[in-house]
Amino acid sequence: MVKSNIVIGSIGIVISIFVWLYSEVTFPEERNVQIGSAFFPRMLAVGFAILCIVLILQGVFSKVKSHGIKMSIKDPKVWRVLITLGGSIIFAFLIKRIGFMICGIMLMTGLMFMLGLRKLTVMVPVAVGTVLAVQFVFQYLLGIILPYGLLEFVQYL
Amino acid sequence: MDFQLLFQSFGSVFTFDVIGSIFLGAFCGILLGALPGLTATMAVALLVPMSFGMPVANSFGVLLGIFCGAMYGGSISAILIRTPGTPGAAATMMDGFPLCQKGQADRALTTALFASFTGGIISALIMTFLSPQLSKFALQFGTAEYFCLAVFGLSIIISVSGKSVVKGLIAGVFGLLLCTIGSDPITGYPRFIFGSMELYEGPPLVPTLIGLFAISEVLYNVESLLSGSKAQHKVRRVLPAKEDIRKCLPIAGLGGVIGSFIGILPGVGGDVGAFVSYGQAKRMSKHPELYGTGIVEGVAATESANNGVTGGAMVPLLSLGIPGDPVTAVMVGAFTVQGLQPGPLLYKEQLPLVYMIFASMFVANIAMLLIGMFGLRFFVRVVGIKKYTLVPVILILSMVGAYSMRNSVFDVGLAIVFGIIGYLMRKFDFPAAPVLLALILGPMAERSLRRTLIIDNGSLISLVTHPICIILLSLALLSIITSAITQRKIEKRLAAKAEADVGKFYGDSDNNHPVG
Repeated sequence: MVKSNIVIGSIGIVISIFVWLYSEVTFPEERNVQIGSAFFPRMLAVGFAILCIVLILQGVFSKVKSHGIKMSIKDPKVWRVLITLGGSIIFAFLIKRIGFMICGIMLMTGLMFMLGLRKLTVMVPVAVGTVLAVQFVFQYLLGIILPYGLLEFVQYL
Repeated sequence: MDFQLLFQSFGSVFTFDVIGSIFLGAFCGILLGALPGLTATMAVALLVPMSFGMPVANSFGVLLGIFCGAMYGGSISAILIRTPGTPGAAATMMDGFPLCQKGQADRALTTALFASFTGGIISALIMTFLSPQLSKFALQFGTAEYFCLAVFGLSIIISVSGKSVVKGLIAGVFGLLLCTIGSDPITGYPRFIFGSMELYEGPPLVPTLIGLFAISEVLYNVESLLSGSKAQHKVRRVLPAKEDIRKCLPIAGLGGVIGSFIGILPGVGGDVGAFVSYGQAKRMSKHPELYGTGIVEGVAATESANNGVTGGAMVPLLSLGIPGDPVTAVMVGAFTVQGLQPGPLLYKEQLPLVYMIFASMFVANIAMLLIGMFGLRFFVRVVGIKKYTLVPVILILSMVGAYSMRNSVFDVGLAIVFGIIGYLMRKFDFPAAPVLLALILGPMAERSLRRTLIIDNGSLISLVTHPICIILLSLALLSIITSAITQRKIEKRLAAKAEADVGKFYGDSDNNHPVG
């Protein structure tokens, strides 16, 4: 039995049911168009559900005994992934408010520290250099202005 | 074909300023193409104003240089950091990145360069000699034919499924379901957007790709950092070895032809061409099970096709005035600014210019090859950077790449969400390639299927009456059958290997176990 297949298959079936019901309830009935907006999503939802059932059956009748991948909160590997994700979400949340340069430097130095680098003489120049290079290339060569946020005065210098 | 005029056009292109413009364009194209998030379309769109003040020859030289350069440039980041610089290079990751992980980054990059050049030259030849005839062929493609082309492309899902066909198919259908997010292609009704207008046009392709591949790779690297092995990367050559050229030349030739034909179809770009070519190369191979594990043939198939699209996309633009892909659509602006109208009249009134564009296309591919050869030593250095420095840089470039498409924080969030999905898919052995394939071909499949059904009053009769449809569907069926047989063999081989490993383990355990 492969538990992960059973769990993923079940989630897939829930998604299929949701797609079908959501399109049933919210999509308008089109009188002028024979094949409406719901046609393709429903067709796919049915196919998705069938494949998920096959995955569950494979999981149930598999000769291999597996509980899937264990992810423990005590595992430092999991912590590294969670911290990276958290940092990325904070970056996305703050980029407009405090600006790309500050956010970028914070995210980069934070990640380097987490990955085991302790030399400030490497961390700071790499983070600052990368962020300034990206800002320069995007703004002056490509015409894409990344948010300045708190450092808005810099662009008028 | 007026050969005298063609030679004269080459003469007019071989001047210092035109050659300089083409090289400048190719350099900028490679640079922008390699940056995650900046597609070939964006590269041309960003740099097209630069060409406005130039003479006509220089202007088109720059643009064609950017076009060819960006198509190749996308492969650099796809191979080195598993982040496709352009959607056209997404398929290159499947074999390019594993090659890089084996410590053969230079081999992958030289193959990509050689295949891009071969594909580009073939497409330039096709564009030069077959433009009017191919334009007529492209006009025969109706909605039913487009649907069949999408089905043909999607038929390789099984062959890129990896260890499990069911998981590959689930990933593919999941990708197709993602394509239904956004406005309905026929009625415009917003589907599954839950009030978020950022999703009205569907999940944007570039942030989605960045999330699925680049951010998931960052998360994977962060997790396995301490146990990761460090491969050695040395540049041994700037062109592929003779053996690799012998293996790749037929595949690159075929890829160039496939890319050119895909390119002439309006609305279909290098991303579709690369996948169709990859599927075809795998079907024709004696060892299809090695595709996806890091072989040069896989890189050659995709790169030749996406550069093959460059010449193909110019065919309908020059002959009919219809852009073959988004890049050539942007180029229409350059024609207009120069006071020219692409289309049949261009051949009558501006024939020397048309021939000069043909000549520039050849030179642009040569420029791409030379700059690529020169830059190879610098590109490979990226992989030598220590992980604790490289991983944060990739993450920042990914975030900025996702943001820059629409100057949208929402897209950054979307890339993070797809990063989590990509990471979990990898954890649970779901292949990401089918999702990618579905995201590229899904919108075309739905749009053309529904249009066909509407035109034929709910019937699918045109799928079995149009000759092009019959050919494409037969090829798709053949592809599914051969892929299923090959996949079955791979699964059996993997199962036998697993059993042997288990047997060996128990054998070793028994031997190690103290007797008595």
